[in-house]
Amino acid sequence: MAVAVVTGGASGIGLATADQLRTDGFDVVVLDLPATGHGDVSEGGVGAEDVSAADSDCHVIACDVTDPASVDAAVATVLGRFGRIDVLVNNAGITGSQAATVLHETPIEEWDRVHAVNVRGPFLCSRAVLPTMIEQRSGHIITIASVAGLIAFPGRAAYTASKGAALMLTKSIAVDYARYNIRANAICPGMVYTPMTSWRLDQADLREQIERQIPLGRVAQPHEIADAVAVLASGRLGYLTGHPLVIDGGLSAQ
Amino acid sequence: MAGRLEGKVAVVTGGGSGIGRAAAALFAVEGAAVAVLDRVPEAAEETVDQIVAAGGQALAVTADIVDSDGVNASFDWVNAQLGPVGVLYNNAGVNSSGSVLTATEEDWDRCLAVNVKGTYLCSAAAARTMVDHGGGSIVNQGSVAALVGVANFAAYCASKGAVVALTRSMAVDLAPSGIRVNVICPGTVYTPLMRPMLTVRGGGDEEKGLAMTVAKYPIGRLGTPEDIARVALFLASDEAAFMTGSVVTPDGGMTAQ
Repeated sequence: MAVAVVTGGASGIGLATADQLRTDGFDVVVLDLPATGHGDVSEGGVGAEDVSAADSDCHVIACDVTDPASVDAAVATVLGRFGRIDVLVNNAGITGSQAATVLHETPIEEWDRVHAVNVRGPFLCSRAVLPTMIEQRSGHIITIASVAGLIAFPGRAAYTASKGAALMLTKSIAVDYARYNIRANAICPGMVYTPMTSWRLDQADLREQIERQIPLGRVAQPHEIADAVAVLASGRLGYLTGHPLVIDGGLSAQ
Repeated sequence: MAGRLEGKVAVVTGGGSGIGRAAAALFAVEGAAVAVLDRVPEAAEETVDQIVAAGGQALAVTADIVDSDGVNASFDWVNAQLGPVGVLYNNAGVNSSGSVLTATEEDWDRCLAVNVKGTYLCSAAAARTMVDHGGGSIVNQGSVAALVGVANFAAYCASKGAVVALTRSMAVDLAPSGIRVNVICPGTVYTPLMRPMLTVRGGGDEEKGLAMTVAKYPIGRLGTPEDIARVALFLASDEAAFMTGSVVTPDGGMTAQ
């Protein structure tokens, strides 16, 4: 059975992705922070323990993607149990606190925290799984970037920069590892209703303002992004590598 | 499991060969009733025969997509025979070699007419029906030539760039009617259309042109019609429900470099 690892799989897009991949027959391992940990998980998501309690079919490992020792240990655990990793979904990400706005007002520690999760995280996780994928002569690394990697989100300098970096990291992996039959693709969602964004979208006036800018006239639901991850993970789009798959309801087409 | 296009009526232009034939076959396997539109009647019929032999439903339609009367009559015919069109894959296209210095004006006009005006005419015909029936999905055919300059294919590059821009424009305009519009930018696919291009690139030697072209692809091979057809299926289906105005590049990593 094919094995997929989903970081940040305890809430939002990651949770929907883990569910979909399980439905599609993958052995899915979710890496996430403990529920009592820091970061956006405590801002509305559930944590690693909650997933393991709620669904015994789901393998969950507490992991901080910004910490090399934690990532290496988690990947070693996956390999010890399953012996292979076919798909890595670099989903864990944060937008930064509400203090992380325009560049000159962004607290330096917020900049570092956003880049640690959104860029260092995919770097460390990809770095940990690539030797196995090279040995397998197959693998697919799917990174959830953002349409903010293509067009700037107003008042979100750190997030925008981090997603641009995640996108180019994806292209770099695609170019360097194609020779080992390893593909790397990014998904660039627009606005999605998740625990990370609900604080904004639950305010009716803010939601209306956001949805007015989207040609399809609505935000996405997590499963609409999970569908795309599942299609990529299935291998059906086998000639796609190094690609930013934009799923934004037409936002960036304007 | 129900097919991904169960109950849908799909039109595939240029469905008589290459990517279009692969897409028509795949759409039919996924449950669509497929209208195979091609300029060459025998080519469309051959695709239809293959689909029907495999247990699918298909209809051959002959039209030149630069002729608005022919296009409109064709879509009326499809709507009457199969039901209202819900999916359109604007796959039909022509190639045209030469830089701005060497291309003929005739070649330029033909390339722009088929690739851009043809896409416009078919989209308009399909969208009129989709607006009345709650929406649909239009998939356009771009090319990596819309994103990077490909040597000695000036008109082709320009035409595909126009298709990408037209896609974004249609996505914005048609979203309120529930019509999604996306564009595929394939890398080099080994098709009948591409073989003369490889010969030109290899200085008259197709094999040499092929090797030179493969060298540009990190994944180490050219695309197959099926590689692109699978992307078209994804965009046509509800799996891509939140995608519109997107540019999808199945190109083996060529433009990631």
